Amino acid sequence: MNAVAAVTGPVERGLWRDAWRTLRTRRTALAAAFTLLLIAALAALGPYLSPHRFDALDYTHILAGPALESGHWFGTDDLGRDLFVRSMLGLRISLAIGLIATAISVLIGVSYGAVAGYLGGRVDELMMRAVDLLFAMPQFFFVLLLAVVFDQNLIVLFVTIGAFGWLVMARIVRGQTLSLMHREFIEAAIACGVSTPRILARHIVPNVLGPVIVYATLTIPQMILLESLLSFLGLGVREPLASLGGLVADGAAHMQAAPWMLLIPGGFLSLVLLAFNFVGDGLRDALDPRER
Amino acid sequence: MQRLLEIAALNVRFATPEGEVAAVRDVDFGVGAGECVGLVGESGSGKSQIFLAALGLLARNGRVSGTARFGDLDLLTCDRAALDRIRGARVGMIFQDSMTSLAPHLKIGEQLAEVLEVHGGLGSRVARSRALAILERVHIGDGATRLAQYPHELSGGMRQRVMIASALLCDPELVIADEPTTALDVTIQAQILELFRELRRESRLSLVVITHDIAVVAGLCDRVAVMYAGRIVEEAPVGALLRTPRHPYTHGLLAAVPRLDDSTDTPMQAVPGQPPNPAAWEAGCSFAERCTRASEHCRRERPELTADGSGTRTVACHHPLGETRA
Repeated sequence: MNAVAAVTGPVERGLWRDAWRTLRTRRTALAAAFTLLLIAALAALGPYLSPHRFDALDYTHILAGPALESGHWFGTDDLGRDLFVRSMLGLRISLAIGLIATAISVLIGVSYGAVAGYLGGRVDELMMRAVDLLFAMPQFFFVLLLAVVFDQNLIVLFVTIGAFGWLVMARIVRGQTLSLMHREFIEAAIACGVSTPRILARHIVPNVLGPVIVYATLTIPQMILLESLLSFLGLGVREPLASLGGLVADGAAHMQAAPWMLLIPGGFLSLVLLAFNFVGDGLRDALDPRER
Repeated sequence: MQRLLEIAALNVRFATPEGEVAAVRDVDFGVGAGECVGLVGESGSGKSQIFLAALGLLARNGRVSGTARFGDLDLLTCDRAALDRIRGARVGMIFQDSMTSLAPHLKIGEQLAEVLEVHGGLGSRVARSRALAILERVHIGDGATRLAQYPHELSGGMRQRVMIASALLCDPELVIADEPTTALDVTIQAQILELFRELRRESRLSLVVITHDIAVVAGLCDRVAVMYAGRIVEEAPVGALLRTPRHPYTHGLLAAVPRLDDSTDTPMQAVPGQPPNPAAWEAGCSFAERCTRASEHCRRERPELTADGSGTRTVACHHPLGETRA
């Protein structure tokens, strides 16, 4: 009796359910998501498995190759620091920068774009010209400048990188909001006496979430890459902390004597960037209405 | 006589790249308490814009002048907060297309609760029982299941009932139904109209029905106003208007309704010509170009809306039909 009811019961459908169904068929995206989870777990737990600390110098193993018996599974760098622990640390910092900077850019971009699109008219005009202005500025130089001025402070680094990622997000959200404004359910909400902030939070933002999630997933690797570039130039995270970019820079200096110093962090960096891009592509197939 | 809603000298203009277009011109319109008024006109005659303007829902390029008194408040000049307290609470609005007018991402229960939260500040349990009661009132069975469903899971007629339910949630004094049955097929149309009639019997609800379908008005309303090219051209009790239309346009509209007992050889009685371009409305009667009774006088001087001897109806025509003296 119950089994029959369960079978004949109403099939639930919805945006997220449909999206999940599409996503399930994208093998690469699923594999990439799985890889990311694995790498994140490794970055979180890995350092506790190793006998070494990320800033401990081991003078008996300098530029030593990967080996099991010494406990330096990924080898050591030119100061005798354990590369496994340092790679995990680098992963943590790179992932954190990617996520936090993206979260900041989503927060600013979505609210800015939704407000501009909803209010429209002169306010919209003014707000979007401000975005154009910021776009025209050489952003990378600003990040460099701020990194120098604030002495490579980690928090400032998060914020400045995030603060430059919201421009595209704001444009996307504004465009989506403009097209939503012509939909009658927004008009119906206004006719029901719903206030502007509530309409934005309850009716506009949930409906732009699809494209936002897609673009955010594709923003994460950009942010990671931007930070890696800074670190490569020596202006990113400060020693003895390290991001993947910084490790790659160190590795590049000892490319011939100790190729593992370049290949291991470089491999992780490539893997993370690729995985995020695959996940983003999969999510776009699943969530972006324009692809339907 | 104090009426519930009194619209006076209402003008709605839209700024377009081709210049300013007048959509509604010098409209006076009132709804009494407990009264049902129909507003009939073809597409573009400005019938919807009157109420979109009154509720502050005009498109961005729209400009409005005149007054729309609701109680002791002028809806056109009061601030947004005052308007928000009235919209949804004291005036409910029902839109034509229930598919696009219900938020696609919210469950029925959430949409109904939103109205109650905004206006009543009700807690979720009270809101839910109120929502269930209102669904029952519009004859939606199995309300608990419906509350958990999304709009696309309901049929068109069901969605329209939900729209009506959400307009009725806060016990409004006035409900404005903009083409409430146009998107539905005829059997569902009949059910929805019956629902409106029932709601009117149960409470002293005032109702404005905006439609191009004169049959909708015939079975539901007390009074009808006919709009043409942004103006009201005739206003009368519904029976009188249907039996003896005075304005040639009203007459044409009624004659254009096909009848089942017409012979199949009888050609459709259409009103000849096209409505005038709203950007180029000129002096004189705007219907003159299409009117069989038009004279030189009609093209020169626009007829004012004037009451006839009975005092219950008005018409804006120099040569009205059925004039006993003429």
